[in-house]
Amino acid sequence: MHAAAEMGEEGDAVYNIGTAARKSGLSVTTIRTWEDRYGAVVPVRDASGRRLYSPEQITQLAWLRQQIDAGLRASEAHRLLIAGEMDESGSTPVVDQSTAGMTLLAWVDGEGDWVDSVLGDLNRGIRAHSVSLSAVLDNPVCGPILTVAAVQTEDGEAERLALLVIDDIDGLAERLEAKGDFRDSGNHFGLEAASVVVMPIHLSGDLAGALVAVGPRTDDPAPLMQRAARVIESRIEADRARSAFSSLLD
Amino acid sequence: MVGSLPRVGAPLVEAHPPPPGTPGAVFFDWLTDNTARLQGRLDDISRRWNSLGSFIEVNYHHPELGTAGAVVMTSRVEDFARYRHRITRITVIPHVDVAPYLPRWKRGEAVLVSVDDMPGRLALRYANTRVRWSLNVPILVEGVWVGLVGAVTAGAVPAPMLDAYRALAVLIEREMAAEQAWEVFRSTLDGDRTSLDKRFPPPMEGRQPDE
Repeated sequence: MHAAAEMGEEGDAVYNIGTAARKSGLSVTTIRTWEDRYGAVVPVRDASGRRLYSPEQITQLAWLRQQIDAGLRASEAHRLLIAGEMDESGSTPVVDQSTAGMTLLAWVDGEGDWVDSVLGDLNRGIRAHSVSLSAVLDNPVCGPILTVAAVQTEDGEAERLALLVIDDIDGLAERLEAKGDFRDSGNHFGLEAASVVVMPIHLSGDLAGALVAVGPRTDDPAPLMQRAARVIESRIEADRARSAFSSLLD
Repeated sequence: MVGSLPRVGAPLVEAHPPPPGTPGAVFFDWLTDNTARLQGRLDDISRRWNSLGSFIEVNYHHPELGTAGAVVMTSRVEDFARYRHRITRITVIPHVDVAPYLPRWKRGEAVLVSVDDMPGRLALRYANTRVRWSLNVPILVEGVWVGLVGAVTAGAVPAPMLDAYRALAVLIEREMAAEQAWEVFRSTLDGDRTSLDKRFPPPMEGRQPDE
């Protein structure tokens, strides 16, 4: 089901924006902002110019809120909606909150400065165009996805990799699960004149995410990326062990 | 930094240190650099479970005793001055005296043993003390057994206490791994990019213990 940017008869749209906000759990301001920014949920207007939302659009707004609550960025959730990835019920959460990928996302939220510094050092060390840390989330509609949690970039290329459907890229899933790096000329990622290296990050043996570097085709960033991945993995594992120990002293 | 460990066994390890670059040396060096934080954790865990004492022991090779474990850090609920002469008995224990437990420690398994069930020479070391049980959780670096963290108690050891000491061993192992990974990353960066600034602190600096 594709996002409806256009409506049928005005008679199908029966909710004003206040009601749409209340039913979807979003604020009026957020709904307006998203309409301007993403153009994914566009209501019809009545004779006075007031927005009128259909029940389907209310469902779409509620679905967007669910995806963001589950860890996606607003841009990523809209991208999925526009790409038709919303399931028929409109209510299935995108991600399982208990996965290693969610652990990685939550950890990055609390350690953003440290992560940015590591990514910055890595970016300079491998002379990349961009380096990002992405989490693997399990989307029940399109399968596992890589969604950016932090990024260091010198241009806009990383934005094109903000959300990757892993199964769309031949061989990527197998390499990540096998704890091996994945290298591509960039064509599979829609990037020209660049190479892409994806280095997996595992937590307690489970795939949690990956470092993604976009750079010139001449350098091999994999060795330093592997060391950076070990830094992130081991730091998270140490933090988890510290929490576990503290909880046993309470 | 060697020599900053305050406890009785540390000088013995310093006199016969593990060869540089070995897992044992990684452990001893890391302990030396993190003494204050570890001391706090030992004090916390001893208070929480009211043990007679908690300890960290480092494996080393003594030219006469052979391989042995030296207690390099302790936390005591008991009065140290009063029991000093008795505690000295267990400052260094040759591995031959704990031979039944070595395979388990090398596999990473904790050992909880009553003094009544200890081999004779080991049990003698606890004579005339209140110690009835000894808990020993191995610490591994890169899969190699390098030492122990544990406690001695006058009564039975409840399961949650065992879990807490296991958690402390895991924490020590993971903090060491994190520091090693950080040093490898930094050294690679510095080797490739000598101009890179080094402003960024190592992973554990600047954090409050167990925050």
